[in-house]
Amino acid sequence: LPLSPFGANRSLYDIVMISVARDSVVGEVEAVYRQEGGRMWRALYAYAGDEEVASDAVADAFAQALRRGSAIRDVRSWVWRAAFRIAGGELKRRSTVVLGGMPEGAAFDAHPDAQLLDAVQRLTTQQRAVVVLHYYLDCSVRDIARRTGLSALAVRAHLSRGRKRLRVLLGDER
Amino acid sequence: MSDLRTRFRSLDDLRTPDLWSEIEARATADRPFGVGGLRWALIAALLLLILALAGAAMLGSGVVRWPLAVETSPRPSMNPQSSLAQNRTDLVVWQPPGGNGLTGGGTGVSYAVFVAVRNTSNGWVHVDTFKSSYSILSRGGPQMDRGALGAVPETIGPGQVGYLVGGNTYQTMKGITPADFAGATVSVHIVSSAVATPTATVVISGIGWTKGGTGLFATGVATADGAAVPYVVVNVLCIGKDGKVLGEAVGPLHDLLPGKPKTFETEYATARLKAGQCASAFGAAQPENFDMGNHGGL
Repeated sequence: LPLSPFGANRSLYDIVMISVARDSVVGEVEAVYRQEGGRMWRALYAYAGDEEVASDAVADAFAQALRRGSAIRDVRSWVWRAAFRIAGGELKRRSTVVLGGMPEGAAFDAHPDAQLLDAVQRLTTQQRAVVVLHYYLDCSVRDIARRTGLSALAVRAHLSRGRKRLRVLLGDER
Repeated sequence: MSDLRTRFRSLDDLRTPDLWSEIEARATADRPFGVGGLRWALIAALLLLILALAGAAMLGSGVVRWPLAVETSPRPSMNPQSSLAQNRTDLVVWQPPGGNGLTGGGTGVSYAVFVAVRNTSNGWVHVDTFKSSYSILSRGGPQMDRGALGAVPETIGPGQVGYLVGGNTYQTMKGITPADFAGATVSVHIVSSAVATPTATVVISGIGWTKGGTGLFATGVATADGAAVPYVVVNVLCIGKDGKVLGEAVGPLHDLLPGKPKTFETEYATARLKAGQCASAFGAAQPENFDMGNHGGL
């Protein structure tokens, strides 16, 4: 069948626009990574207690954001949510997770507040996520909900419970 | 505990790896256009565009004739019409004495927004809680506050009622009193879409109220239907005689097995409810996607 030049133009136009959009997406995703990657890694490290899980979750979340391109409206929120899900999924997969111990590693060795990270590891996974996001990243309940995929109602419940438990674990119960 | 934020800041001392090259490598692993190949794709596309434009010019000059009919496939609607009818919207305002129990003190105003909706379609509808929002406008018009709306439940069956819930019950508004809300109106933006029938739902029944240290807490029974549900957050709304929602109680529940009722007791009430206020109750359980195992129990 003969090709329609209008059809061909349309499809070329699409290709050009898609390419331009993808370049734009790469730039946006990289900008978010440069801005937030470090804090995200640290938050995930405190959450998961494992450098490998943190690195894998960050890399995978941003890689998925690149692949999805302009389908993601809010890259920042999306990668945070994806990274926590990936890390959480990995923790769940590793059924050998042992509570109450922070694995050793270069990052952990460099951290001055081992007692805090050890206490965080004794919280449930949900409590850990909301506590880290709230106290390390100053996220509001609404923002935590956006970043984790939890409902705001669940965030409040976990934050309340996690805070109480941390108080006990850190020997600050009054 | 008071210096928890300061202690968490010590995380900033951690060295972090630069993962960007790894991210690019993973992204290009299964992409039709690699990140590095985007510019080449763009150049190739531009060349093809020039050739095609030349062809079009020839067509315009009559040198070449092509069929002019161009067929395009219909595009799916990106904004499906919401099937949720908004029944009523309630705004509850209160002043937590000495803070709300979580902020640890201070004064201010807390409020909650409850929007009753009914699914008027023949299928299930999912509320997009990332896009649904509310704004509170004062009597004079200026916006007092705004925020995201959660939903209980997020997926609502045909003909069923659900509630969208918002508010600032964790962080109080400073420098105002409940009187400042007099005559305020709530503007609601609901985004929803049709979804397939969920494989598992949770039914709440036997709701009762019990008095706790900071107000009323709800008790009842949750039963999973269709499949096991590892983790839900139960919401119970207290509804007054006039149908106005007065407050809510929230609590998590784990490991629901299909057909096996499990009792629950909420652990956190977002408004200071009083005994006798609740003429009826609405209960729903929202399965949470953030089930990452329950290491250590809640």
